[in-house]
Amino acid sequence: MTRSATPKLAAYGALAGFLLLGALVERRPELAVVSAPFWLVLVLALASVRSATLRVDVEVDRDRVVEGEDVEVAVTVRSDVAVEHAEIYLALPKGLRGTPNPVGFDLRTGEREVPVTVNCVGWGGYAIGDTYVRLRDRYGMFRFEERFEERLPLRVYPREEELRSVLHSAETQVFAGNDVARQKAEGIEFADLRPFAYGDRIRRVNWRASARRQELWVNEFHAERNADVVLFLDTFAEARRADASTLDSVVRAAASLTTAYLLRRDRIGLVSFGGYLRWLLPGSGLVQRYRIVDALLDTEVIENYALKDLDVIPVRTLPPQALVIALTPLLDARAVNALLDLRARGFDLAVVEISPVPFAQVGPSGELDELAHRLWQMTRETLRSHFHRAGVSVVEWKEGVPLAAALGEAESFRRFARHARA
Amino acid sequence: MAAAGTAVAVALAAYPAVSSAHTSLAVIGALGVILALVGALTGSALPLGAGLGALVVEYAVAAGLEGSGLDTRADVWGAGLLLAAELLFLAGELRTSVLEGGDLIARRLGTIALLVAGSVVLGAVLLSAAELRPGGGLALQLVGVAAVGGVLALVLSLARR
Repeated sequence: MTRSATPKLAAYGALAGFLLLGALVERRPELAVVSAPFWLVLVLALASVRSATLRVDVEVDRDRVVEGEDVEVAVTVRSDVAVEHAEIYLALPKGLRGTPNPVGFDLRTGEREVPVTVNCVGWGGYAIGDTYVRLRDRYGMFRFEERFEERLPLRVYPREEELRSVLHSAETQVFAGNDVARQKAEGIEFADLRPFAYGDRIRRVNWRASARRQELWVNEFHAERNADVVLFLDTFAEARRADASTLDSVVRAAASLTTAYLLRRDRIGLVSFGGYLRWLLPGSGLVQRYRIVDALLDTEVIENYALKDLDVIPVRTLPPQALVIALTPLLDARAVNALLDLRARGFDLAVVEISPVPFAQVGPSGELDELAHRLWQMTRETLRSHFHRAGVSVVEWKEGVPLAAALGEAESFRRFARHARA
Repeated sequence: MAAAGTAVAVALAAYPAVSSAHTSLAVIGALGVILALVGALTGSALPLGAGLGALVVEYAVAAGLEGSGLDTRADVWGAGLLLAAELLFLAGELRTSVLEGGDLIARRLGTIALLVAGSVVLGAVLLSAAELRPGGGLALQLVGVAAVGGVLALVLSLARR
């Protein structure tokens, strides 16, 4: 524990010494009398000062929460001596807010548990527990400070939006799922009629059609199959304000889509394409959900000027006939080129543009800045038209608009769009 | 807290200025009060210490102008100076302290009250000793110097712990 004297000690010492010296030089006993209270305080403060041995334990009531929820942190401080006044400060990373923090208390009983409510404002993987303790003596002459290091993991998952419908893949896979496949097989959705063949089950006979045609006809059905979906996260660049960024929206959208697709028994994978490349092979089930969400927590924008294209992505991460949903602010040319390249290779691609426009304010210079802003928006419009010409739906998702609305717009585009090749 | 400390400081500055009826002393006292207030409000010890020093200089000069008579209120003035200093330093300390969840102010005020009371008693004892006037001489001066040395040695030994 680091002990340091406060300026008050020096001031009292100087005053007392000056008065005593003055009393001797001027032969005035009053000055010695005036100095006496300061000597008294100095002697009492110096005689009573004791360095405490502290122990601090930090406990968190849970280590996984959703963005916006609170976590109760209990900081237990133990001291071998009674302390008049102690202050603790729980060092929290950006994205977490503690209340009350710092907090003051007395430690006369030798042990005290201090509750701190931590509000998880932003998603991410955090390590909390670093605590700074400051003690003061009863005369205000000394302070003692010590830092206690502890690293308790706290994972704050992004807030998810409720999605009733998602984008449907153009092609389905071989496993059972919720998507109506083009192939005819066992299923619920009616597909066609055909003449009865030996081996057909009686329950498939369409009696109305058979009566009309005077021979047996049976119903055919579309199979219910699952789909492979790959979330393509553009982490090359982000637009940021003090409290929010396009990356936050990317992660929230990815988490929401992951949950929605896994509920439909689809396989879902992840490619984080940016300063460094990270991927998760498509999979299904609860484990895959946690894998993806945990991977999302480590997502960050890292500046990188290296030229990157699709060749750096492992082949197995982009299975054939997979639906690729790109979540991108469309700010970096490398990501844009990679997406157009994906489309050119025949992947079923949909782009959800996390709009950076609300994050970019017009500069203060007036007309010139306004012109530049308009030009920038027109350039973005041109970029979107490139994707549209390639048969890729691009929908703009802005703050305050439900993700479901953007997905609905994309789905209607995909339903009526002509298939084209970039 | 700062207001209470300043009020006490104003009273302390007024006492030597009024008793000696010197305008220049009032100026020094006023300067000391202003410096002390600035120090308390900004939480800076340097102007606060300088302000208290100015009050002490004012008192010392006034005592020198008094002649050979002993100021019988020196114990009260000394205790008052301690009270002003404690209140002003506490005001500065509270700017950087976390009060939520603690009762720092109440406990510190209690300590200050005890210190001031003890100071008055100690000052009265010393003042009574000063009034004895045993005749002076080298031996008494040596005793005085030894007492000062003893106090300094005590403080230094405590500070080294």
